[in-house]
Amino acid sequence: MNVGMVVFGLKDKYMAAPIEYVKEILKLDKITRLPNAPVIVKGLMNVRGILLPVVDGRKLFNVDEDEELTEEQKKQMRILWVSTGREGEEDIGILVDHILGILFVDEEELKEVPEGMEGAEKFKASLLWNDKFVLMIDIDNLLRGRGDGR
Amino acid sequence: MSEIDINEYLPVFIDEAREYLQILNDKLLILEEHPGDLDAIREIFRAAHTLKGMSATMGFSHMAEVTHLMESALQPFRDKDGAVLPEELIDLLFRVLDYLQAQVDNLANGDEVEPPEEELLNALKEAASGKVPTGTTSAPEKKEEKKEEPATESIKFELNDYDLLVVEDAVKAGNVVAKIHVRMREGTMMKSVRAYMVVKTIEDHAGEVVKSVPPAEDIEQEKFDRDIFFLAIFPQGTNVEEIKKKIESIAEIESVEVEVIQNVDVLKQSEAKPAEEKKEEKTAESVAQPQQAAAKEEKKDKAKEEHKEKHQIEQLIRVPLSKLDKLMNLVGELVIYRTELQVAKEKNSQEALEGVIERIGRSIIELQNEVMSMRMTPMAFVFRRFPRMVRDLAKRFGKKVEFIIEGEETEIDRSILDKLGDPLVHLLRNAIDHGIETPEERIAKGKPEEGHLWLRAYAEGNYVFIEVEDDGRGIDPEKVKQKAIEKGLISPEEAETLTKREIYELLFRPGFSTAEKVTDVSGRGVGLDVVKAVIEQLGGSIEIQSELGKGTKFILRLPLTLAIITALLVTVGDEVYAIPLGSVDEVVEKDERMKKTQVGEVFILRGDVLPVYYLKDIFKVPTAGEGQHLVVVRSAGSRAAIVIDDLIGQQEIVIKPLKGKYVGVPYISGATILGDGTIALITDLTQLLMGGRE
Repeated sequence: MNVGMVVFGLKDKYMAAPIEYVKEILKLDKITRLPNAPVIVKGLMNVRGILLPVVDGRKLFNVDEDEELTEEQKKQMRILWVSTGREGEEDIGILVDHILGILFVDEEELKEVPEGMEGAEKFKASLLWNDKFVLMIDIDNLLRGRGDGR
Repeated sequence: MSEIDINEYLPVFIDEAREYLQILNDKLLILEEHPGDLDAIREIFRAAHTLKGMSATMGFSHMAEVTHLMESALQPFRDKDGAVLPEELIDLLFRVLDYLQAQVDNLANGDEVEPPEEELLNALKEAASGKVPTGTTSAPEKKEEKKEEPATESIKFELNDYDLLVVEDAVKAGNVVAKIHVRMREGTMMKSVRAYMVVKTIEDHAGEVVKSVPPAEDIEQEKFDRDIFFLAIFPQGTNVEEIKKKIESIAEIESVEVEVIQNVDVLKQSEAKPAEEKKEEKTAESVAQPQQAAAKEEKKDKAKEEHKEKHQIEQLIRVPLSKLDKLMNLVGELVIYRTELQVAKEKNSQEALEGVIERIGRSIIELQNEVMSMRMTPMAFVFRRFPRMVRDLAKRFGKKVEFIIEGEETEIDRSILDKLGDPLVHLLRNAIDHGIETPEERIAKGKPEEGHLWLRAYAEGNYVFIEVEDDGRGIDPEKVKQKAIEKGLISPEEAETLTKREIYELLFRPGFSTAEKVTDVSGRGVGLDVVKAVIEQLGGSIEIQSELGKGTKFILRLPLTLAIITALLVTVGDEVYAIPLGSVDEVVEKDERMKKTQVGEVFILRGDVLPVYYLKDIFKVPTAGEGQHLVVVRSAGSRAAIVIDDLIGQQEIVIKPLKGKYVGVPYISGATILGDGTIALITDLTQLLMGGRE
């Protein structure tokens, strides 16, 4: 069976989101800061009247975020609107450096996430694509739970 | 059994089950007053019957069994004029209701149905067999018998307890119960049609198919080979041979066997055996590979847990079809306007554009009103559970209370309604526990023996009022003052100057409780302060009116809807925040009335000392200025001044709640989108003022 995914880049790392969880790919618009929110949360974005919480992909997946981005790089940034579609679970937008494209691979090409890798619980599979090592993120895990409320 | 996806139907089941449980509740309360009310008995009977059917369809056999027994227990009373339900039976039925209620709640929480307590089940079984329940009963002996009888392998019916009960009853009532084994010819075409004809024949003879193997769904889809078993109940005196002949005459039927069942145990037997076999198999497996089996179990548990986590039951609201049609029409209009807009743009006509915009505006207002009205739910939704609670509490405290509900048809936003339950429970409990006197006390005071408790709702303007009123002892202002002084809430000098209204306000202070003795119902430390906090969080207010010796009235004022509020928009640096206008007292200039003290800054407003908070500190705004204005806010009885940079003005805003693991942050209850697309965060000051200064 074919597995579809949206491949994106975070600095020199490549990751992918299962396509059935990706609702839309958005350009970076104005983000309103959300005070006292977890550090990974950039803020809220107004997407046609819907308030989408935007999470910084670099912080979320522990990719080094120190370097300052050039204007050219900023233009490349996209927001991956992901959703489990289940009642009671929020949608989020993941801010990524750039989108490489949509990829369909055979299920057999998916490998396990290397054991002992830092943050391994955030991913559910890995694969080699054009000699690039791509990690497939686990969106269920990302969105599960209602958090601590307020 | 057939594999219907029950999850799909679960919300509907829960919704409807609650409705029937409510009927049971209401009618039982009536029966308690008038144990001979035949209409109520019949109504309960019908509700139990429907519940039984629903539960059985959904595969909740425990619920089906209990409701079935309930039906049987009521049977003798239903047909007799002048029958009076014994009190013990009513109490038992109340317990059954509690059980059913708990199961429906379990289901709503994504849990499983639990079996009833053995004792309750036994009491019910006794009642069903015509004995008045006594409370302690011995377990029925039938269960043991079944192991001793030899196994028959004639039919592989896997009957559950519920099926057996139905059969048992039918046999007892003298009906003819028959097992019908139909075998079709090899290569029969349209087997389902033949099967249907068999069922039709049974039904033509006033028979009822209780069960079929394979189940009806599989038969419809022709998921069977050649044999079908039916278990059917026919009226007394039915000639089974005649039915057999009729079935045999159907085309393509090879053979028909009919066995009349006189003894239910025969059926029980065939059920018991396969189950035992299965068990043995399982043991063998677990001995051979104990670890693997354990691992399997674990996995299963885990899967179950995960399933549970995801399984959140959605809330349902019933909407009349006419309202949906109206919505559809409005949406249709909007679609047309979009085309008109396109045309106006192409023509570049200012006039046409203005016309369309105006029409769109009108449609949107109408759309807004329609959608709002759908969210409105009658108070009855919450009120209806109170009569039972009041009855139980009154019994417990030895009070006599007549409970009067008025205006339960008043509508309010569903999201507000959902939060009203607890505060109202608290106020009603208070009234019964502290307000209404014991019958002796009332007689001594020359009042009627029975106390009155009113729960009233009515709409006025944009608000809904709810009143909880009793004709009990009333609140003694002197006692309240004393208590407040004792607790150190006020000084004796302050006490002198307080008005009656201000004294009642003291009751809402945290840590205040006038209960002289602590009962487990009221006076648990959670008091009126919590009630007040909830009401204020909903944008409402609460007030007390009381007259010593005559009674007390709590008046709750609530907004009709939560989704839209008026708010004061302010800026701090380049960020915009919305403060709900309901909690804003006034806006003042930042001037020399601001004073620095050891405990931080304060603002002296007409003699009152208000603590000062900087919004830029609370929300860590990086770009903020020094602040020019202060917004005086009030919540849960305390006030504070909040420093902001600038005022934008007041505006109606649509609240979008912010909840969850990424956006649930302190002091923010939601956000809204302003006309220019900017996002403004809505501050939650109740939280701020209750939490105090950090």
